[in-house]
Amino acid sequence: MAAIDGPALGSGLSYRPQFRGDLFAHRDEVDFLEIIADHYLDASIEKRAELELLNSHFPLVAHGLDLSIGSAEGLDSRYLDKLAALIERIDPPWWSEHLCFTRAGGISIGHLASLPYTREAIDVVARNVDVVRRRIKTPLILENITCVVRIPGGEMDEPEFLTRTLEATGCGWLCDVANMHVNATNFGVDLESGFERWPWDRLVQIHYAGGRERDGVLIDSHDAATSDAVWRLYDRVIARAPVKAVVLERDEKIPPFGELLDEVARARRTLVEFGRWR
Amino acid sequence: MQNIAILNLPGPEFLNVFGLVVILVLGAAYLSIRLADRTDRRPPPPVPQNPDAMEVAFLQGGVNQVIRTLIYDLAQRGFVALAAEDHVVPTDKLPQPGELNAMESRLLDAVQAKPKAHALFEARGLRRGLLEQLAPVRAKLAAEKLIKPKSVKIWRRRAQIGGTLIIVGLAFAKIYVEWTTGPGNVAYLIFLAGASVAALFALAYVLTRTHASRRGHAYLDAMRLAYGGRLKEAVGHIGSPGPEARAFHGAALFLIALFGFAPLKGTTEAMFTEAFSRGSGSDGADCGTSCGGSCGDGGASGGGD
Repeated sequence: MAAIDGPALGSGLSYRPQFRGDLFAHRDEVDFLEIIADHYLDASIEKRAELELLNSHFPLVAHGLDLSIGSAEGLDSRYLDKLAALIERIDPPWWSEHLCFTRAGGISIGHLASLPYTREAIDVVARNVDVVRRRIKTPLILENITCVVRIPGGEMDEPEFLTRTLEATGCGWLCDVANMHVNATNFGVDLESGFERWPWDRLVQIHYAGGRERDGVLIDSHDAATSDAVWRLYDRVIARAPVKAVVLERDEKIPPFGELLDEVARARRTLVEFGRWR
Repeated sequence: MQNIAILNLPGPEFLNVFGLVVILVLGAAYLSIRLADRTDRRPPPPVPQNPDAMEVAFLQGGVNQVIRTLIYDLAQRGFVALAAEDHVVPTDKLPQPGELNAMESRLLDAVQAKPKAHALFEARGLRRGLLEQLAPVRAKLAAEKLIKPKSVKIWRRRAQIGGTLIIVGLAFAKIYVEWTTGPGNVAYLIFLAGASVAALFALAYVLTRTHASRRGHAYLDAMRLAYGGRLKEAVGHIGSPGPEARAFHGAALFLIALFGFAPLKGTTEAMFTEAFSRGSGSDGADCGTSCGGSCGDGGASGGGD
């Protein structure tokens, strides 16, 4: 059973203003866009016009950065109000946030920080998701993040933590295959042997991206083409589970737009091959 | 007429009433002209992936913008050049058979006489010929409700005539009453009436000077927002060595049609901005002066801008 009722959106792109002109010139090669919600929360007139333009030309989904769904102290209600207004304005089939915390003790830490893999953390996330649902009716899906350090005291591993969190919250899963690959590589986890332990029945959307290696550690920096290893994992995931949308993320060192389109087309081919997209 | 109470008001009180009437007339004129164009009840069409330069130019600034865009394109392709004192001159390069379309050929013919830039805007034969060539473009834009509907022109005329009759009629009635009851100072009233009529015509001009409808303006705004980044990129290429120096060649020509010559300021092609600014009283960044009073006809009669 699908995690949420929503249309399949195909192969899309995480929007950046730098390639707006090229994007419109190749509109039919991008099935939909993902916008960063935080870029439009306190939007200027120009940003609102940009949002209107994007919304009138592409199906949109929103991706939040700073809701801090794992904060034990609860959510920032003002931030949530702004997010709700944005979601209402663009009316996406779903929206996404990271399964992490970005605020603690009232202080924004400016980073997606990993939660401890504990039952208590799951309860916190479930409580916060309830608050979000009362304010935003559009389905929320949660994304697995990269982990710099494992928080001591964990009671389970990442697949189990993610599975139990999605069960407790009823949320769908935004599977970032690049993050899966980074975590598996950096922590020496064999993705292959534990592949079936991930919550594939909750899968809604996929993120893929390229990163870099520094001092033997993979970093999900979104500044390079998607690696072969991530593509292999992507293909495996598409073959394994129904997915409604896939998104290429590229934040830095943005290449000629044709290269991004090549990746979007590559991702679409696999979707089509496995009947996930027309 | 002496029995009408308003006309028997003392001068200052009458001027207050007169001022109020003028404000009401201007307000009514504004509303009637604005409401004659209800094309924005529908959202604009999607921004095209490959905008047609002539369509964009015609919508943006009528025939004048088409002339600017074509001249720029011919110059990029080496057929014309800008010379001293804003003259547009042909080069030694001759087009191969079929290399130029009908409009380009027509303009190249017009340039053989080495006219000044502004003379191209005033050449009635050239304008008429281009308008004939642009008829399909115009029909397409009109079908999309991107050009101001004829009702705008009708209501503009009604507002101008009706408003003028009210303002001048009220002023004359007061002057008549003043003269029949004895000598009075009506000089300020005459000045005020003249200024009010001028304001009425100015308002009508401002509201109808472009021939894009409100839907057309929304469409152009969306296109500017969508492709603004490409403009910056193209301007950055101007003057660079190699073929990319022809930054607005081919598919990118619509950027000149859309944004005019203003973005060329500060580049090695700034002479276009200057020549056509002196020539048209506009740098082509908008069509503020390019449509004259010819709203809806794409500038068929508006050569003297």
